[in-house]
Amino acid sequence: MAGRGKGRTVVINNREVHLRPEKYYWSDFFMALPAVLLLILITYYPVAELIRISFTDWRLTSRTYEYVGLKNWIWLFTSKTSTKYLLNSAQVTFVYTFFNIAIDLGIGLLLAHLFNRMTKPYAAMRALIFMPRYIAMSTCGIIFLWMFNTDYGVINRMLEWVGVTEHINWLGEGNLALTSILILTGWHGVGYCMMIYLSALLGISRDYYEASSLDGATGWQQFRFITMPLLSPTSLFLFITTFISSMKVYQSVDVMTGGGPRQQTEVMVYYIYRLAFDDNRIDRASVVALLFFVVLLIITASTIRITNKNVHYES
Amino acid sequence: MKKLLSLTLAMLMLLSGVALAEFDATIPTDQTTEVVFWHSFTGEDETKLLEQIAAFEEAYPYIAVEPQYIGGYNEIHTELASANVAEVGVPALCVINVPRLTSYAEDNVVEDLNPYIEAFADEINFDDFYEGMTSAMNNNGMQTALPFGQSGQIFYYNKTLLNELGLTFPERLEDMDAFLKAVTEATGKPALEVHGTDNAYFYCMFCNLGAYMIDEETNTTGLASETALELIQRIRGWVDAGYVKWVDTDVGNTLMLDFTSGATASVLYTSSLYGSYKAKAEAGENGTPFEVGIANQPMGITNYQFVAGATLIIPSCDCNTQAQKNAAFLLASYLTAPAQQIDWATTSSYYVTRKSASTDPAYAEAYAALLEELPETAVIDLEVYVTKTKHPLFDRCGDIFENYMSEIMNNGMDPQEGWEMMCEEINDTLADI
Repeated sequence: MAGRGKGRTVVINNREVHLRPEKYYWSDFFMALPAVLLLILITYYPVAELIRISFTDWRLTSRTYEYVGLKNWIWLFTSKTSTKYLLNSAQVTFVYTFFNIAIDLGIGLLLAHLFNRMTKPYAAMRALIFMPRYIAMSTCGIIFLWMFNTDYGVINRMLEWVGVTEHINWLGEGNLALTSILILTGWHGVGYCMMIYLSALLGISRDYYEASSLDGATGWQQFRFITMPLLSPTSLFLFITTFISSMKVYQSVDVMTGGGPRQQTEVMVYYIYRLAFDDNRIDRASVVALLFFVVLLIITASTIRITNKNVHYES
Repeated sequence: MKKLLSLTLAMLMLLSGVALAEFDATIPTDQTTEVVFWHSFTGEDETKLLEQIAAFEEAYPYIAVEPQYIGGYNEIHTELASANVAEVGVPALCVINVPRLTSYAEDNVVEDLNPYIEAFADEINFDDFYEGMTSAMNNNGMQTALPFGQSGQIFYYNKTLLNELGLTFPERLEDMDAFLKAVTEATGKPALEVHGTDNAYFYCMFCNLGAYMIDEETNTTGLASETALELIQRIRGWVDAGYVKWVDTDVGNTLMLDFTSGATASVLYTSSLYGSYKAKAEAGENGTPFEVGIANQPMGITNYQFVAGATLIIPSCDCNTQAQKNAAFLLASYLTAPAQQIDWATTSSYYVTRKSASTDPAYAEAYAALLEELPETAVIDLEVYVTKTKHPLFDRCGDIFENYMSEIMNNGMDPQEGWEMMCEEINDTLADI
């Protein structure tokens, strides 16, 4: 069984051209249906449930609940503690996201340029940098926990060699704790960005560089006016994926600091977890999770919309 | 009216009698009853637990136990809460820590064990448990759990060093200043390291001076007292003078390494690590070998010691049959029996939860063997152990307490300012219930 959509008229070279409507087959739809149903089940159903739970007074340990209307939403915006913790976790999350994107994309691009040689020693070095990606974040967290240990950690020992004798409490002081987490996640994620950038760099035709060299362009000018614009689709892709994963950071925080000291590394997802599983307030956790989801959606959509204008897909 | 009231009372009594009579404590012996048991033990503790379960299955061949390691208390809580809501895959017996019990009782996640205790009176001998332990697991008359892997917050000290210095570990809070000063001046190292990321360890000192986290009558914090402020200032003074190190990152490893390497003379940590601390210190694993001593929390105007650690609960979910729940209670009774508790304590360093273990001649040999292995166990007087305030927000308030203590002790926050902010935040949290 087949059908035909509506045709449309476009203007090409000041002439109106009528495009024939696309033909579609119902069988195509049925072929995609299982995947669509699965998507609805594992993605949209939980979101719908989250919305429903946000209007209840459900505690995690309770099997019964009642609908309480907007009570949880009112709590979120009026309670002294909720606004304090919410704003704090939002701030921590955005600071973390900003620096994590800068580290992953900035150093990733730098490394891609550095290792852009197709020889065996370079391949080995690329593999070394990419390898942390294979290690589970929880394992990395435990290793870094030891490395950042105030008295026995290798980092403070190395600092001792260069004359910093006072042991730094890496995970016990707010800014340092967040920096430590950024070092861990940067080390873990930078290899991935490097590889994606590297594959994009290999896709740029050498002709552009040769032509610009003949015109007398410097290395920086080539980077600024050829490499950067032609890497922009890759940068956009990495920006969006790193942004989303950074906003949802949880595991590294859980292993390294548990949100401390004094909530100074308590990112949004950790706050949601704390509400749901420490306080057993799944109703309040749902409200915060929904708000977070909406904020994430708006920022991601706006980013794509704004940056798309400056992205060059010619490469 | 009187007649009506009498009639109603009679009906109620009759109904409650019927309810008691209705409690079916049978476990079929002609078929196998399966008990899924979620626990949190690994290593040697798990080996010992499995050994005891195998002995139980031998004694009760009609009960098959399936022990499952789930993870730490937090993982068990998450799994149990999810299974409980789904009413699928809920274990018949489960290990959980003491602070979770209040909300479990309020939301009826667990069975009230009173009918079981009555029905299996011979097997359980409930009065033999230390009262402080069972009362910590009692919520408004509802017995929510049995004490299993119980521990306390104690001081480990370098007995060899203290003997050399001619000092004894202080029993009273007022003697702490002189002791800490003497040790630090003699060794040039902190006299004490405190576990700073769990208020359970230092909260007891505040309680023994009469400052409690939650005043249930006013629903505000009792830490908003001059006594609490004075103690905070006093501890900060110890930290500033180098007598005390407040450890708030990678605590477990740091305390263990600092203590066994001689970087500190004492640490405030969980009693359940006694065996491990003793073995490492005596073997000189990280420095010169020394003897380990243990001490209770110092007395103030009271001598409170708090119970913590693992308890055994029977989830109330109807997805398990009454026979399974009965079998689970039988298993819990077996695991908490004096002989098993002595055996368990010898391996795990958890407290023996039974009074008769140290008094009944039947267990004299086994108890002597425990003391041979862990001699300082005798120092701990379990009769003085009491329960903390049972409040659903106790843990949340505790988090705030320990956060501010870390800021004051390690990050230079002014004690008075930190104390004021802490009290305000705890009160806001309590008001948010």
